[in-house]
Amino acid sequence: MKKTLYIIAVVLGLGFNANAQEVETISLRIPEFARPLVENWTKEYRQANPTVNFEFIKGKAEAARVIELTTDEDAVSFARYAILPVTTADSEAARLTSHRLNARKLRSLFFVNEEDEEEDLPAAQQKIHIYTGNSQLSASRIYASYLHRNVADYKGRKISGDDAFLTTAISRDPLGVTVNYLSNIFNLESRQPESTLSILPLDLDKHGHQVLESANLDDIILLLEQHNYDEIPVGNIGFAYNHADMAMNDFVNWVLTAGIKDLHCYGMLSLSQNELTAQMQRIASRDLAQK
Amino acid sequence: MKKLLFTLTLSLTVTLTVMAQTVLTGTVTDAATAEPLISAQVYVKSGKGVGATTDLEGKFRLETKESRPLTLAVDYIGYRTQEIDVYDDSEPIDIQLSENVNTLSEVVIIGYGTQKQTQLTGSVASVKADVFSQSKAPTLDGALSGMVAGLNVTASSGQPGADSHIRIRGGNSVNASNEPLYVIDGFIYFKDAANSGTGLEAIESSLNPLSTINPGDIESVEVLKDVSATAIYGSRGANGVILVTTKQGKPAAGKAVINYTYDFGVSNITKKLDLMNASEWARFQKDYYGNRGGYTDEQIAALGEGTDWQSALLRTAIRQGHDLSVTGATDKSRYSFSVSATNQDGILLNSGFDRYNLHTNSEWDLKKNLKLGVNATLGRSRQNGLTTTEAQVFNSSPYSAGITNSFVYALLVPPVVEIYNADGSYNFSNPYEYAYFAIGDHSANPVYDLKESVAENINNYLLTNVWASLRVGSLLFKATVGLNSEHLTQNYFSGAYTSLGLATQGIGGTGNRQTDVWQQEYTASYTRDIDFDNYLDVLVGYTRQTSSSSFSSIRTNHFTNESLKQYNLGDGANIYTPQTGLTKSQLNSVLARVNYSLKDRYNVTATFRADNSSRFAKGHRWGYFPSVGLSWNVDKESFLSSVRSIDYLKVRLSGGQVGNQEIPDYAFSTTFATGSYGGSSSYSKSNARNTRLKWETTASYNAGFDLGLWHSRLTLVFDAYYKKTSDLLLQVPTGFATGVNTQLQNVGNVVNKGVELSATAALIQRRSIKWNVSANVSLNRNEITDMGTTNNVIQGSDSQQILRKGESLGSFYGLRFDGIVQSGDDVSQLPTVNGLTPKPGDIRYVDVNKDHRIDGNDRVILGSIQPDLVFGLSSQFTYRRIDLSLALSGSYGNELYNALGRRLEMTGDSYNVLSTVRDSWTPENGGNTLPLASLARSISYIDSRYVQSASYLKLKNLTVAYRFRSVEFRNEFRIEGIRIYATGSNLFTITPYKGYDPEVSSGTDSGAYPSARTLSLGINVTL
Repeated sequence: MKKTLYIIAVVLGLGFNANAQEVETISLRIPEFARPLVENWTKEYRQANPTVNFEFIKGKAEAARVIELTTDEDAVSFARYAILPVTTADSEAARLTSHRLNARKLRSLFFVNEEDEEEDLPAAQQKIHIYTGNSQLSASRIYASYLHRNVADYKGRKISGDDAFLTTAISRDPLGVTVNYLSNIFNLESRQPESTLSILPLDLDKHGHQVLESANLDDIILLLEQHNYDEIPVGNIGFAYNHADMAMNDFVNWVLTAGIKDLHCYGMLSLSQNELTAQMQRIASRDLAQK
Repeated sequence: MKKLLFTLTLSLTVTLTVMAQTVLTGTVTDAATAEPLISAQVYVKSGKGVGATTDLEGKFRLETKESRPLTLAVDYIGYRTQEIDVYDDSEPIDIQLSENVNTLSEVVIIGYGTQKQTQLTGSVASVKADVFSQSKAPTLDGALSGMVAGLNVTASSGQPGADSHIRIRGGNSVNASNEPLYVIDGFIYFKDAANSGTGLEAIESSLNPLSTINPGDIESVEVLKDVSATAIYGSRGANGVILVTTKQGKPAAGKAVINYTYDFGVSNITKKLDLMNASEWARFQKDYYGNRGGYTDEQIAALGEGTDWQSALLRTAIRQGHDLSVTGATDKSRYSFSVSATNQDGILLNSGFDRYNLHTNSEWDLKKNLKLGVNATLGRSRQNGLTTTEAQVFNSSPYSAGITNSFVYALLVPPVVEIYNADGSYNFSNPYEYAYFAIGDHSANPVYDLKESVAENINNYLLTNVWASLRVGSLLFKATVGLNSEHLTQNYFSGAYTSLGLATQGIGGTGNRQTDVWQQEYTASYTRDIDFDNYLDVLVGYTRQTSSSSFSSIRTNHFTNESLKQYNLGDGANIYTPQTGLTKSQLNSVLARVNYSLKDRYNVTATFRADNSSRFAKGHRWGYFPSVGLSWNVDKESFLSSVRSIDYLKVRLSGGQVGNQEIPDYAFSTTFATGSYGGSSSYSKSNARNTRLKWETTASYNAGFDLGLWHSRLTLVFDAYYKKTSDLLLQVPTGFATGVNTQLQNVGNVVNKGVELSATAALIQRRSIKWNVSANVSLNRNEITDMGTTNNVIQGSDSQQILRKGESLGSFYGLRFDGIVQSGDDVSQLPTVNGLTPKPGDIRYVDVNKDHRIDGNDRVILGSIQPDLVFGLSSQFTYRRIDLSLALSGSYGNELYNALGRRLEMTGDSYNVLSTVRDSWTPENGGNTLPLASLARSISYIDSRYVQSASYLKLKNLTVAYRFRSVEFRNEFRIEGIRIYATGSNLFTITPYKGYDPEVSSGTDSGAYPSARTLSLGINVTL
């Protein structure tokens, strides 16, 4: 009996061990603005691929196999982000920024040491407090680069932590203004800005202005997929990972084929079909920069 | 029960405390360079005493019990304090700080390193890049004029590309150089005046040693004035040190910055001398000199203006400049490349200056703590100048007669002489010339002289420094190897119809000098914030500089074919003795410096350098140069902390000793010069051995303060100093037995003492209007306090200067003018002149020794080249996109010997004169400044009429500019800035001086190249 039990135990044990070895864990380092989207993807992906497990890590935590969301050109792009300037709804800052802002005026509003631009900034707007993020993937960094300025030239206060905290910061300051990703600005259920937030009016063309004023997430995504504006940074985001790892390759490939249907839902812009095809070809041909 | 409750409470408290403990980590870097900032202070703003300093990689770690969100503050000297609200501590916090360019928070470049302004003990003045970009001066010395208290810049002439004399706190030496030491990106750059020529002597101007540097490449210039700052340069620090730092790349949003400037200008002479025209000169000749032209009164009236020889030599000169630079940085490198081309015509015919420069200042992070850098300038400059008569002093030499170059000769040619013949050919017939520049019926024509003569300096240069630094903990090791290689070519040609070639049927020559200076430096520095209160910075090093300079030149004359000029010297039948030579020198030095700062209030700098120079006699080659500097940041004391109007107040005190070794090589040994005699070679003794020749040493003391008021709206810097130079390197007359006239000896003392004040005021600091004004004034007293057994050394071609104990260097010496003897004066009471009793119309001189006769013993000190005051003022006014800047400079109390004026008021029947000669004494009209026009000069000594005040105020620069908005093309291409400007240089000069220009560095105005006024337009585009 003991022997039988022992054999059963060994067989079961081996079986479990064999099953356990097949589960592959992939770590994901994803900022908050894209995390709901990626979480959704991991759930969907696991349903079809139960042997792949995902864990989300933060900061500089080390992991064996990591997929990292980045704006680097070398990454495999799967979507585009858009960044808008926002303030707290019905605040003093919203009142002071009620006139349309073009790129030059935005530079004056957000950055110091720009004597060229200073004259365009009305005295009242000088009271405004700028809040910006400090993390590597902060929208503030992209925004500064897009407006040809340095992060260090931002006026006001820096926030350490995810850009989601910028909303908290300006909600405490009636003069607070910041920039953020669409997904951090909009309520993904109502498709309207979070109740506390208001988008700063931008000096776009007539159609663009109307869309921005309507503040409907889907309309804004559609607009920005079709038009470029000097006032609104739009750029690619993608995954950086070791392309020699087949499990990660498979997941990214799945994202490019099946996952992209969720982009709009989570506040992301789609890549053009040509670009999407090019990214898939890159994976297929392994013509990728190794991380 | 109580015990249980206590235990529970304690456990809960401990648990909560532990739970609330937050660990914050991160990195602090420079926003521009991405370099880690070491010893930055990071602290929780609301948490008392919770703080940390960053390590060598700029990293910090601190623990706090403050609940999130908490505010973190980061302080670093020289940078804007930054506050960060921390909502999340899961990620390290990357903090980038931007430089704060205000007040004492700056970091100052000093010898072999940098130092925080708050910790500085020395007197150091900085001049920033915008001064050089606005100045439009082709060399940096022109832009420095009037910018720094205690710095006196005097142009040697108006020749484009010519050198200047720069004196920092007065001149210390008589025969050794008084020029400051230049350090260009770490390379010690000193051009010995004795080694600047090739053996040809007929070229008026020498190339400015600083012409190798394009002012557009300069990031900043630091002027080290007191001994605490200069002692690290030991034997070469006595005359002050000028540190030149070129631009380096800074990351700007990760992109390269491309900058292009085009500048176009026109120049004209600032002032013309008022010479007699043809009618006046002919009348003058008829009235006083026998009318060699045979003019009738009608003919004289018809002559009118005649030939304006002065204007014939002048032109409207064109200046163009292109500057293109690319600067930037990557994660692992910082780079700067520039290329520039300057072409500046001179206002005199056939003169000008060209320069083509390539420059880089780049560095790479090879490994985590290992850096490699290269600074290099490769270029070529060319200067076309004036041919000059040789400085030979004998009765029949043109030089003795005051005809120093072809420009001066043009002023002398009578206006009745034509430039061209009726057929358009040059007129070489001047019947009035019979003294110097006429052979048979041929005489010189100055326009032809300038157009056809060659007086050219061409310098090809490479100045490069390659360095590597390795950081090991708090230690930084740095090794630098540099080379300054220059090849100077001088070309000279004066054809048979030119003034200098008439006597020899054409003369030409060419010379070359190759100078190579190698520099090695090995330093180790230890920099550490021991704790919040104690800062220590130690530097030790070894440097070696070896120089070799070889030259050769050849001249021939008697040409039969001049078409190829100096490129066909073989055509010259007579060959002068070729001049060749080689000199070598080396300087080995060890240096050390300790900076210690306590509580950021009390600072000490102790410096020591020992130099071994091959230029001195054995046994006297080592020189030891120590200094100590102290400073106290008084504003940080509690008793001043409540005075809100004071931003900073620092008191400085320093003392020490520096030296001067800038004498020719081998001056300690016997040397011989070669020549030819009777067809054979000959040797003549040129220097007598002095086995005791050693350093000239300057003991220096300085006290000063820096004061910032009302948020630095007003800043003041004051210094008082005393310098005593001992063991002067002096050419002392020697006895017949030595075989030479003079010998270089260590004799005597010179003292300089003075005060300096600089003030900068931000008068308007509103958003759209800004107005800043900076002014400086310095007062220096220079005195020879000891001359040993040698006193009253007369100098100058007209014996116009004297070295005398109790007087300043550069004192003028001559008779005191006392008016003109008038008709009716009792001449028997007047002192005799050359044994003759003066008669009406003669000059009266003051009989100083009352012996009733005028002779050399009646000469007195008539003035000095040393100014009482040197001052400068600059202002920048900005209104929205328009900016206006101006720079004024001036001096007061200095004199010049106007030798040209003296020459041009010397009457005769050959040469033209100033129109003032019309006011000469006549029996009918009197007059009390010039004697009867027909009289020859009765005595050769100069008199006080020609030692003239050279005080001046110059508007050196006035710039108006407009900046356009940045232009962006669909976010794909962006022009960051466009600036157009108009600049006027040297727009006006207020001076009582009667010559062309009061800035003549030698002190004797013998007809130097006149200065120009330049109006230029330019555009600057930044991508």
